[in-house]
Amino acid sequence: MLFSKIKYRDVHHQLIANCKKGDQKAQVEIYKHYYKAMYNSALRILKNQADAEDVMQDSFLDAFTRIHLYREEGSFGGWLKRIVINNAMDFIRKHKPTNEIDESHILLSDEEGDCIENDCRLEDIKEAMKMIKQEYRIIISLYLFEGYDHEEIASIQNISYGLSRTRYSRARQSLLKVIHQLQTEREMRWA
Amino acid sequence: MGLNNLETKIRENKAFFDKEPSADHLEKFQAKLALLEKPANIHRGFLFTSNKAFALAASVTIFLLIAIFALLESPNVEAQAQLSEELMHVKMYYSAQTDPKIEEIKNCAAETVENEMLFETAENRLYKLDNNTQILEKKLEHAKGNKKLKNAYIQSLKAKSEVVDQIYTQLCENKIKHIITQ
Repeated sequence: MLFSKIKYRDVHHQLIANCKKGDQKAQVEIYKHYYKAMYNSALRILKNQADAEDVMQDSFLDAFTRIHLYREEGSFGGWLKRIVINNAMDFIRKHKPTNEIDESHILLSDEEGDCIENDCRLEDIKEAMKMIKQEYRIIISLYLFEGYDHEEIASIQNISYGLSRTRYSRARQSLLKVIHQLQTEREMRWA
Repeated sequence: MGLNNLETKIRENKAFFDKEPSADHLEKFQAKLALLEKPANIHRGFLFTSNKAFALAASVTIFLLIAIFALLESPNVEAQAQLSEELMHVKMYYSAQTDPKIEEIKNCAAETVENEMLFETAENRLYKLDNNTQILEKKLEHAKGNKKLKNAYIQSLKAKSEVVDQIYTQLCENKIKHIITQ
């Protein structure tokens, strides 16, 4: 009974309370705590560093403007990250409208592939992430890096749950294909 | 969907993929933060979506006050039938600057609901500026030699041009960027 009455308290509860009062010092402190994670979330979606920095900073401003809506029912970082992700997605929609293809009908091959032992180098994964299609990069970022599940991704991307799963599988295959290409190229250079 | 080697490798080494923003990111953010509207100014934020817009609106208001003052203070007014040739040229110049942009703004406004809302606010501001210009123009038709009135008229046209430029940047910037990158 006692536990049910205990309300969630964010680790930065006092800073957040001060932000709600419009304290700019507290806002800068919050920024210092979260900027790196938020910047990288935006960068993985947008790829361009300047755009990612703008989106990240504007998201902080959005968050401070709407901070009265944050009711400490979950972590502040999670709430903030959702703003960053939504703003990054909006940025992509505004700047590069893509013709979304319904991939739900595409059959996946049985062999999805994977990294065997240590054949996937981190450098290759990083490089391959830059080379795959934008929508694949986004879904891998949301699923693997941000830890959203397909239900959340479906809501963020305004697609169906099924399409989110399908797209992730395609993205994964595409990423592995590029990783293996990079490996082959390297092996050929060494040969 | 279970986690395989690829997933595990990425999730266990997330920090490896991280980068730092630009060296002066904190200074940039502090500058942006300083411009952030305070909660008490929410209504101002609704009408004017940026501080720049607010500053512009404030300067237009000051200008209108000066214009009204100029009208009230206007000395011996010479009755003339229409605008002088010089002012006609100025009018045509600003018209050539603003009219095509207004057409473009209308197109950009139709692109998103957010743009439409911005356009509605902007349209209202432009309407007020146009009204002011017309009043000054009518006064000028009967007071060709009034320098204060003449300056106020030119300033009014200029103010409209600046407002149009600002709205154009705000609403059509994405489109411009898109065209450049194509």
